[in-house]
Amino acid sequence: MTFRISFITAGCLLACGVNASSISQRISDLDSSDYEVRQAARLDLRQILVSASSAELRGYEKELIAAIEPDQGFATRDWSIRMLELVGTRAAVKPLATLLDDDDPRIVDLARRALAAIPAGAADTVLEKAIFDISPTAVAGYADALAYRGKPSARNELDDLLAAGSVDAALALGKIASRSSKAALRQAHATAEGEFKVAVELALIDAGISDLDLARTLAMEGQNPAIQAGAFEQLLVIDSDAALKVLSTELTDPNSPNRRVLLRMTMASHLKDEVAAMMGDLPVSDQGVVLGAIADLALNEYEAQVLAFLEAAPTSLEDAAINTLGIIGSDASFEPLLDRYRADNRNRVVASALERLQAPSADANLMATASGDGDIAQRVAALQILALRNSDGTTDLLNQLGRPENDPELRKAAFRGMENAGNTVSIQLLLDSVLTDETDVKWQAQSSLRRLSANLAIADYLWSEFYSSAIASATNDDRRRDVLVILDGASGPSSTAFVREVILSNHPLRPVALRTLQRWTHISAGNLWLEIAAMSQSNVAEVAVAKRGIIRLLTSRRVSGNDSEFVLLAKKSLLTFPDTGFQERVLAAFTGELDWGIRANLKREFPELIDNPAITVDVLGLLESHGYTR
Amino acid sequence: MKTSPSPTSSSRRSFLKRSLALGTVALTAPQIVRSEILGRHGVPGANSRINLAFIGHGKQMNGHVDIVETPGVEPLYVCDVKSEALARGRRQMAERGYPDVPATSDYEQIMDDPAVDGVMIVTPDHWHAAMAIAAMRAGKDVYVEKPMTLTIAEGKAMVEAQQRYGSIVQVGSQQRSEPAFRKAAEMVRSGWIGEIREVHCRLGSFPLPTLGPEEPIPDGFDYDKWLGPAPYEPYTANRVLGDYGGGWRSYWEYGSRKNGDWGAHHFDIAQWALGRDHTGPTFFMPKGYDGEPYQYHQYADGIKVIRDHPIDNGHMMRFIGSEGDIWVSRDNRLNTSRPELAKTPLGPNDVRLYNSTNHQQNWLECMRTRRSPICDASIGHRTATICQVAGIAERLNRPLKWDPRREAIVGDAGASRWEDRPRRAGYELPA
Repeated sequence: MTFRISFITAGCLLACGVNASSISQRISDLDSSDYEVRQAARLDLRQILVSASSAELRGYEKELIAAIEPDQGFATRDWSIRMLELVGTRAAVKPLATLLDDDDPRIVDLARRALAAIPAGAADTVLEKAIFDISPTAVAGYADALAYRGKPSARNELDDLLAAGSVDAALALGKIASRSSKAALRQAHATAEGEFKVAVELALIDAGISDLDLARTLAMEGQNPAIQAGAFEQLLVIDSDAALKVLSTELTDPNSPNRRVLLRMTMASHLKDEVAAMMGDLPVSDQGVVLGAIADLALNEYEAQVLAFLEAAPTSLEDAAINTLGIIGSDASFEPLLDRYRADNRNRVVASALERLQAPSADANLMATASGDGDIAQRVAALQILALRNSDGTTDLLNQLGRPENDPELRKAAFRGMENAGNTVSIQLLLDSVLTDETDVKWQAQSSLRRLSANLAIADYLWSEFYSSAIASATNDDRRRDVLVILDGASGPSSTAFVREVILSNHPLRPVALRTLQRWTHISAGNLWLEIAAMSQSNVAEVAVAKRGIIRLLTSRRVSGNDSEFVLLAKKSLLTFPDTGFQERVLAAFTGELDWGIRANLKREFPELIDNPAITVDVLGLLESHGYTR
Repeated sequence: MKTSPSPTSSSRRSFLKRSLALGTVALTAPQIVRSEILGRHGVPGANSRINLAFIGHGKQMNGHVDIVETPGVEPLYVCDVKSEALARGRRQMAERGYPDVPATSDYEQIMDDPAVDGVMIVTPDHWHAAMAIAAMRAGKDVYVEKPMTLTIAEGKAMVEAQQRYGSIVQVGSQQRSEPAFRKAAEMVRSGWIGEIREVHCRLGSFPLPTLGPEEPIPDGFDYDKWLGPAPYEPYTANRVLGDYGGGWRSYWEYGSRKNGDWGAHHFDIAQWALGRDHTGPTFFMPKGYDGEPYQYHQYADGIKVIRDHPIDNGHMMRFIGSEGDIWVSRDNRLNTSRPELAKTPLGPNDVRLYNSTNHQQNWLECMRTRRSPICDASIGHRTATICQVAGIAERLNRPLKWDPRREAIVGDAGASRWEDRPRRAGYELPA
């Protein structure tokens, strides 16, 4: 709140034209004993400074410079220097330079950082000079400051440090990356050893290598695998023949930790043809890397090679090869993948590859076959593949072939296809088929309607737009039963209300409704189970079914609903059924790791159960396991 | 009262001395062989063991530690600068069958150990880049929490390192590995709702960062190292608190506030769905400037991504197209204005995006196959850039232009100074 008020104040001040005295007050407040005032001063000051005109800033900078003097408290100096880091100009360089000798090491480092950020050339000079006046342990910061500024002019000072074996100078020169800094690093590398050599090599790679011998040497003999990989990446650009030789040498060493890294890098270079050509001779894990690169980089020119590889692929790489074909494949891959799908249509990897394959000619052929007047079995088979791929026009074709004037086998195939590729037009068509006496297709229509409804997952919409009117227009209870029995596909609050009416009114379809409710996949069924258990006419068996239904709703991963509804159902159930066995099963639904929403609702709803005598299970223990403290 | 140590008491330099000593110990200690060498017949196998180290055992690590239950994965280190967090890390490993995982407060020890194949970096944001680059230049793969970096320059350095060393880097914008977000992005990319006009993202807000009187640093906490590259500040408990409702996440020095906390998820999905993974917006507007009701960023083709515009049905994101809307949230919640669209399967001509259903497992799989993970450093950098430029505009309280090709703020020298930060001595960004 303090910030908001002060921010508004700052805005007003800006609008009115802030003068230096208002800055003074804020600078003074930086050291206030009231920490809210301090924080407001920090934020206001920053806002005023970053919004100031150049002319205003000149005045503010003078005040900031005055505030960094040693007679000020640390809090004032700290934030003032940090503000100079953001807005300081040449005018601030000299005052900041004097702070490099300050007694407080925190101030020294603040000043160094501010100098590193101020773009004026004078800051370069100060930092370059300072690097020789400091202790060896402080060199890192100054070398980094020079690198941060990226000024090649800093090279001379760093060269001297490099000659003395400074790791920090080496790394800074690598970041500066000028021609002369590269030369200095190259020279240092000739005699470097140990930690210094690692740093020089990292710096050489950072700066970029253009020298073939150096790149080759580091790629093969660099101080660690990362350096070797970094040099190899640059060698690929400098000389592909040399890179290929390094790769070949690497591949002869079975213990090389870098072989897969280098293989992958090569696949992204113009040497990919050479690697792809040797794929058959590589060890299995390397082949996996090549396949993965072909897929990632969408190298569709290797489709024929991957197809050939798949023919004799080791079992562990079959899926990778099939997946790769799905990504890069064309019509040429269609038949080989289709053969595999026909051999095992439950294989998700094959199905997935077949689904995404870019095979326009194959699609056109399938469409012509399915919509033609040829052999029914062939039309059915084509329809299945079209539905799997959901090729353009498939949904319309399914809705067309599902109509009553078509052959029953074709209609049933169309219904099955709708489960995957149907739409709301399909819902109406399937409902119409369920509500007729077409016994040869009715069962398939029911099954497909249930699955399509569940797949679409828009239960309330389906109920209001299709199911309710279909049930209302059904000519007798037998037909209503045929819909009711698969209504769990459209489980939702609206359809639950309908089922409730059937059950509580003791409608003749009550037994069917009870059976369907046992498959319900929306949490709204919970309250209905509680009502059923409470009904005076419910027998012992029905109460037991109600309890099982509640436990299923609380534990099945297929059941949807809001977090609060799950927790409230559990709470009501605990209060309704006093037997310990049931209560333990309810609590067990909430053990282990829970979604945060469920946890939050538990902590809100369950504490009142802790001392309730009707609850015989350890609610407190459950809550404590989720971080609740009484 | 225990006071804060001097800024360089436990710096990288002092560590180098310790690590030299450690090297001596390593000669006599039982040698841990790099896991790849243990593959079948000495050839790195697709199923060879992967040794991991875990850095940062705050709350967020709870979502990651189960990775050690993956067959073939073994934890080699837990690391934190808080002793209590370190103890929790060890306990979590013990509960998963690894009772003797070495604990260290020096992440550099992990980088020096060639047996470590991959590092999970789950620290506050201000440490991400330094640790990740150190890991990569030691030849390790990296899983780093989102947002990938604290500054734009750090992001550029990470992208360079990933490319240079061939490391597998997975950034923890894990909504990419949730089917509903992928499907939403695929629908957008495939034009199912026409031309996209706006994207709304719900990020929420943090409390303002607070200052308070210096408090005693708890025993067993290396506060200076926790601060690392960030400016020195006297210790207060709130400053270092790992809390989803505030704590360090609310301070600009350690995070990008809500832009980084949730923007790194939702802005990331917007980038993915709009096909902008390797570019970015060109304009950033802060909330409140010239009466602007919402923060937003805009791409060159006019598409706006608006922060915290109300979304009626409680969803986290809304894509508004010329032919319909898509709403999407966590827990696989996906709705469309044409109701059946959400569950309509893609056709062969539709855009299919990278399919991962488990962000951590995707990283492991890519470590084995060297494939690109679903959210690598180049993608994570572009998303983090949006978080950061939005944060700069917010703090400057003025709109900013951004050149996604040059990756630079345009025409505002003052704002350009915020693209990076000088670091405290001893905590420089590795090459």
